[in-house]
Amino acid sequence: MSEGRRGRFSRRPFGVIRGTVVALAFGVVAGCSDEASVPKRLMDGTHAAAPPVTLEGIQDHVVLTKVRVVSHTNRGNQTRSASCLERDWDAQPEGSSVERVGVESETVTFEQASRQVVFGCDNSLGRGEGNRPWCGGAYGRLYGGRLRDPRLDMVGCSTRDGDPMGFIWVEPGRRTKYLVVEQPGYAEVYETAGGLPIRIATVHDVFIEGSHAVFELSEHDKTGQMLRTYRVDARVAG
Amino acid sequence: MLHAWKFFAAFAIAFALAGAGTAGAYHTQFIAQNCNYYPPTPTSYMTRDGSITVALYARNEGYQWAGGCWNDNDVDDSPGDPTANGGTGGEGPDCSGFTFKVWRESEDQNSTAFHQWWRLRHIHGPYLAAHFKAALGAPNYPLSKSAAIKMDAFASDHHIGMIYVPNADGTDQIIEAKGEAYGTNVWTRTYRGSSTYNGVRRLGWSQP
Repeated sequence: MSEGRRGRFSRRPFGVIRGTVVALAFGVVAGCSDEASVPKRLMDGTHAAAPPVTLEGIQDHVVLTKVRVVSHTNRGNQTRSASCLERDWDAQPEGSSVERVGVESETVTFEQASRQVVFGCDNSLGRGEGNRPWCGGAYGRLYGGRLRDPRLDMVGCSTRDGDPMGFIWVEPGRRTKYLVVEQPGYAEVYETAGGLPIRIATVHDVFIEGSHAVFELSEHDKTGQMLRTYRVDARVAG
Repeated sequence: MLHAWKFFAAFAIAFALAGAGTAGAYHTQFIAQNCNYYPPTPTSYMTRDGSITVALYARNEGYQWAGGCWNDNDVDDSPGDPTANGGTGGEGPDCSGFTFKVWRESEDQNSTAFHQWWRLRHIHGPYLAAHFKAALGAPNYPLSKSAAIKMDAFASDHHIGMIYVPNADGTDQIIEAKGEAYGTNVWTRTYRGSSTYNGVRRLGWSQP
């Protein structure tokens, strides 16, 4: 891994060749995967649905994650958002939070007033430390309304089998409706929601030695057309 | 008159070249040119005084987001890096990487063993400041701030610093990687009295 790419987004311009390569990569992964490994359910036990549109370049085994925008008036004390806020955060949330449930992960993302900070909680199927309701979390300063670092969290959370997981925030482009994350044997799809960065998880390419994780991503518009593909090589920082 | 124009032109070119060099100065390639990835040296014990000595080597050596490598020449060899950019490869630790290294922790969050990471060994470790605040990881233990002594730490969601010397007035001399504009050094801080900071202790210190 080159030093120049560490700990920051390494967005690459979308090109036909790269798009084709990534599309083939997804296809190969899907084609070689064990049918039994394709997830049927999300972490909360609900059915893993397919996205409503066909995603260009993504062949099959696509799982749509769940997303819910929770206004501060509906936060109550039984929601994931309320649970996350029980931790003593430095920041006070403003506006709505975004709760997401994936195959092996669930997250909550908040934004502080004046769009200066995003923060939130990460959770996974694996056993966390002690009796903590969330296995991890992150806090990220915004500069001009944007993150300069994806805030990789790779401590505490793990898969059901005990493998390490990595979580980052991604800020999709304006036209993006779907963010696709390559996972072993399938692709996980996140919808944009609430105007907040999307907290995503990966269950492979998480490197304990070196404290970094690699995410293979593609963004698609509301019709499923691929807008860009890129790799984020995220490094723990700060 | 012609000589004057030639002189002006030469001066302008030299000025432009100097400016170009300055603009690219933050990519000093310090890590690439000076640091290594050698395995750590396991140690059977660790004293607070010994770790203060380790920490002081980083004093005046700068700050690097996601960094973890520095020499001991008392100069930031990569000054002026942009904030929160881990790609510049400069000298110095960031706050959580500094704590990880001084506390001789392992990349394995389940291990409490001591690992001596030498100054030029580039490593950050797996912990964010928020992880230290939450005392995540086997070697990190939550601590009442009133019980905190030298080489214990105070951590918030976005920063961590270790106690160099507690002051009589309730403040502390904190050794910390403070930021790109400040570098790594010792400052008087009020973390002990701040509600946003929690106490955290590295388990297993030998005395003193």
